[in-house]
Amino acid sequence: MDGYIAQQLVNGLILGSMYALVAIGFTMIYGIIRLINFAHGDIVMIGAFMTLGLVISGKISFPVIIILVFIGGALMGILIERAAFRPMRGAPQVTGFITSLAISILLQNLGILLLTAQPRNFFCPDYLQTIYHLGPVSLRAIDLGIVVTAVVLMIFLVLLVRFTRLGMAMRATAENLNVARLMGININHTIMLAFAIGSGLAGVAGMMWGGKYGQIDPLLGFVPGLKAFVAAVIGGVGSIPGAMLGSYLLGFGEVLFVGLLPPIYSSYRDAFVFTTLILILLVLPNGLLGRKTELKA
Amino acid sequence: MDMLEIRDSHVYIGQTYVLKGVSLEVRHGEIVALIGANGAGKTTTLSTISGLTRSRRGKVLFRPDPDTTQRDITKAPAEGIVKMGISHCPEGRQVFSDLNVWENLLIGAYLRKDKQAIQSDLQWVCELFPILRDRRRQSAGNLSGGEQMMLAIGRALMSRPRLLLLDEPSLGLAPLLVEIIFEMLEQINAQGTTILLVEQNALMAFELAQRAYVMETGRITLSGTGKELAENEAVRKAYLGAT
Repeated sequence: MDGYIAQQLVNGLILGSMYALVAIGFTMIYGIIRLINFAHGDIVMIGAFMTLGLVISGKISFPVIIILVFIGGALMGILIERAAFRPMRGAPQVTGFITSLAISILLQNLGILLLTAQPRNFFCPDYLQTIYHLGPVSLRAIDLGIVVTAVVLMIFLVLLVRFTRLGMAMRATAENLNVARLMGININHTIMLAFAIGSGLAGVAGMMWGGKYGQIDPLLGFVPGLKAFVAAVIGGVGSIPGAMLGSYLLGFGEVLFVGLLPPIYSSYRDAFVFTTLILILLVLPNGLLGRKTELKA
Repeated sequence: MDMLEIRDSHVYIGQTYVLKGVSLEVRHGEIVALIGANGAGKTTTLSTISGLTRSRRGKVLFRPDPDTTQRDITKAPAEGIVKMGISHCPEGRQVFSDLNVWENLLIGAYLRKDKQAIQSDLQWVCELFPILRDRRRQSAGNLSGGEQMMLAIGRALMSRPRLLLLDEPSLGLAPLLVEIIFEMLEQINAQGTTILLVEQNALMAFELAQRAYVMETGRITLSGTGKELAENEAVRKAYLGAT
């Protein structure tokens, strides 16, 4: 039984890592321009298809693919920001929200048009399929890769935001757009950077999503997008550490809910997720690590 | 020659007509005060200079040093205006509470590349406001109101402005603290920074400033030296509590 629980915890860690990569971008974009970006999950889908394309097209090693997919996701984020969200700057919050829904539908249908709705098998080289046994826990190389990559990327991000001039500008912009401009910060650049980093991470998450589940289709972004939203809200939307914490809590919670209760309850997994969300928001309306006062709400 | 000149500026915020043809000048080395009741348009005047709001009509002209040419900054972006040497210390302090005190000061110098001069300016700001050095690792949100005001002024100075725009530095502070802050402003001015000061505390503003403007509902209604205005009957009634 102990082994079983350990295995479930490892599974939660893997799931939480993927959620975290998506939730970070979600929370960064919200933090900086108060935009609830429902198109964020579709970057995950784009990342997954980009990975598949790169794997099929040649013998590119996986670390290189990670970098390429990050860049591809980042460019996609920049494109969406420039084309759709920048013209909406200054409009009421709900306008941005509806714009993001439109972008999401556009990307999904573009995916269906170009790639068909047929799910495709996601190629994963054999060495990533190797199964390791660590005591009672067994995991594939790709699972290990997911956790390590996610943690490395998160460490980079935290260092960037905490200790660089750019990170300082991002934190200042997130707190007060106008005063950031008075400091000489070009907020268009800062906002673009938030979209680029967030979308790059979501792209990498798409790569992991494909590798973990083995099949991808143009609508796959919906679930990670929604879960990342929940994770970000649990952690306190706008807070990067909050998004990480929320994602891992959600990952563990989901896996343990399914793993520890009798199998007939497993289809209530998402009901569990949203009930947890509601309970947490009832007690802590700003999430676990959210700011006490949200002036611009 | 004037350092800053606003010529007949008309500004709308949303649908509201806020500045109805404001003209004023600031000369090199001066402290100029802009006083008036709430809603007169003082803050809007400052943000029109710093580029946060735009005039629909009129011009803002700036000459960083007496021997440089005058530049039209009416349409310049806010970040460009900081670079030209105008620093705007906004109303209500608005320090970055997620950043610590040191980071707040450093972000004031965001556009500067001269690392050594930034360090010496940090020393200078800490000499003006020694409390900031003691609190440098604390998050700015945990400072008291007076400390936040000092931080906001220090942050504004870190861009090495030629012209400092100050929006109500006395707001919500104890009288003793206001005294200290005004003394510091005098020092800052003596060290070569021109100041345009928006104030509700007219008495102190007239004492500090060489010249002052009085604003009412979007227009400049009076101007003169601090002394003249302090003796003006209408001003005394409206702003100094004389009966």
